[in-house]
Amino acid sequence: MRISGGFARETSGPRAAAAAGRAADEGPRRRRIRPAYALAVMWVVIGLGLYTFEMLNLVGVFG
Amino acid sequence: LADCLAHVPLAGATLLSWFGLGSIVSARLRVDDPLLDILNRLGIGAITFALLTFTAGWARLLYPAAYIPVFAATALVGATVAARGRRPLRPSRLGCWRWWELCLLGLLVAYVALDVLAVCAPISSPDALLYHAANPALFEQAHRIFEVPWNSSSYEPFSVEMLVLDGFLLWDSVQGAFAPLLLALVTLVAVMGFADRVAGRSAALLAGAIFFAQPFMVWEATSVFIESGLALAAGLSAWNLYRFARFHEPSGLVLAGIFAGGAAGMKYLGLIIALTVAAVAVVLASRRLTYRNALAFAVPALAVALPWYVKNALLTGNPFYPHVFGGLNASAAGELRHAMRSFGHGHSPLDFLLVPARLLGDAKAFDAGEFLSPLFVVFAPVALLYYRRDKRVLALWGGVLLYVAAWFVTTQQARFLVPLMPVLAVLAALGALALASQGRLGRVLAVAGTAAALAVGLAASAVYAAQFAPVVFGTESQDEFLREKVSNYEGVEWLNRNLGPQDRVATDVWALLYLQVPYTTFGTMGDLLPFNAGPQSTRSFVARQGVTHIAILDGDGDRRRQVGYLHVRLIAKVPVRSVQSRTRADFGPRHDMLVYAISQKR
Repeated sequence: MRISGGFARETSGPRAAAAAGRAADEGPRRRRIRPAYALAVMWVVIGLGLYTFEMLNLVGVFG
Repeated sequence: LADCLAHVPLAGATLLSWFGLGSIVSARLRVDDPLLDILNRLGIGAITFALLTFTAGWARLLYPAAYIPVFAATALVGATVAARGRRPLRPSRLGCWRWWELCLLGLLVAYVALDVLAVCAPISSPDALLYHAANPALFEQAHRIFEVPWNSSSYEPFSVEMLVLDGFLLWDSVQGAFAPLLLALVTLVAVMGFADRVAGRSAALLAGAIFFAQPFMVWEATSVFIESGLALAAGLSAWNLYRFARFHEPSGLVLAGIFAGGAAGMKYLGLIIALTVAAVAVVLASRRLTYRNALAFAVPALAVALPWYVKNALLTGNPFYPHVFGGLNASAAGELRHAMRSFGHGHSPLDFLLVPARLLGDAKAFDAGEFLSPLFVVFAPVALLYYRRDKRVLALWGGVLLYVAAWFVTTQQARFLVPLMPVLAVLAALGALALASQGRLGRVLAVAGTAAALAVGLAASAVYAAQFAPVVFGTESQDEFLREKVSNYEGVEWLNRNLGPQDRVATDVWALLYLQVPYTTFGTMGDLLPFNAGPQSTRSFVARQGVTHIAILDGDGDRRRQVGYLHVRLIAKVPVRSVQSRTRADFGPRHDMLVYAISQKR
């Protein structure tokens, strides 16, 4: 998936992302994409976990 | 409420006047994108108004009678140009939108309402009371701009404060407070517009929500802070640079330079933004790096920013006073250095690596960083993972890292990350959408994480804005509100009641916006009278400033000692209290404000 320039929305956005995702699951690109996906999932889990901790702390302060 | 209903249309007219003046000034600078063209005119109009007000201030022309005709004429031009738009924008029909896109749009509308509610209340943010609004109030009363030596922050480039001053000239301080909010709203449109261009409507709505739908931005846009202006300048500079890099539009480079210079004319921090944009420009346009292109960026940037630095050079001999090359007295310089380095968790390389994690999980030390949306830090790196071969994304990320490094070594206040938010919001939206499209777990995380963060943010924003509802809807008087929200306001009321225009009070309280008596201060950090100054310095300070009264807090031991060097008579002890948190109604312990009359005999 690439960011399109200009106004070519038909080649961008979530539909294009989905298409790129499907393409990524096929053939030799599969191995290159998966680490990015795994890393992204790990980072998002860690990030949301840290934020949850922060918010719980904040609510504790309010309490 | 009636006032609020009048402020809003005047704010709309202000936008039209920026648009009108921008259309006149930038008639030959066009880009082939109708939305960006409109935003460019708005931004250039705002920058031009700031520079005009700056010039009028030094020419002693700060009168409503001078400003309002210009305002009305440019608003008329703006309305005419808008009505005759050759290429009107055609928003798509809401019926075609997906349900979650409608939810995001509704969320943004709700945030605009919360922001309008908060900004319609009397100004109560401490920094605004000290200088962001207090200095424009002084200039408006004096009909001119003058040096304010007791606050070193007033030597920062002041473009946004000039727009606040325009609001004072148009009506009052609340109208002035609308200027940063308008800048934030224009930035929101820029964020959504750019995201729409690169990835469509879904990304636009998501980027807009990430940027604007967060409690931090409600606070930032409605407290007379200036970072929304920096964000607009940075965002428009980046978008125009993109136009130059992607579509080879020469005007894009000139406009990127204008907005980079505009950032440098809003705060010294803007210099870092301008240099960062220049670095990204060099990377993106490396194949077309000619003297001509370099000048096309640099000349407009310098022209827009230079007046502020020349002013400081003339007043202090140092264009970057007081941050580079010094100029403050030793104790104030030490205090400033200490204050700037007091934010964050540390300055080691490990601390730098931990910044993202700490912004998410331990952000209080970054000065209200806990109210930042987590979505920037969570999803923007995901975009880097997915688009790591795209030179433009890499260049943007390089710029982000460069700026964050500068932020890290100077002062780690979350507010100063706001200029990055337009770019990060677009990257985060792209990252979230990419993750959602790549698998079930990714979709669940992206959707649930985004929804939860937006819900938490909305709750916190509603709590923050709700404190302003009683005074805006008229169930609480302005004085009651200010007693609850402004530190030491009872002391200010006493001074206003008991002193007159022939007096001049020296004080260490910060609520200067509401002080109607002529005043000076010892300096925010002892800029004018150091805390360790002795009898001779104290007496000459009082004589030089024409001080007739001194009002200090009883806990201020250094100032009390210095008062002992003078012939004074204690005339009042006024019970006051500081406000620790406006939202939580958290107050400090009761103190007395001691008011002394200075005897004429020596």
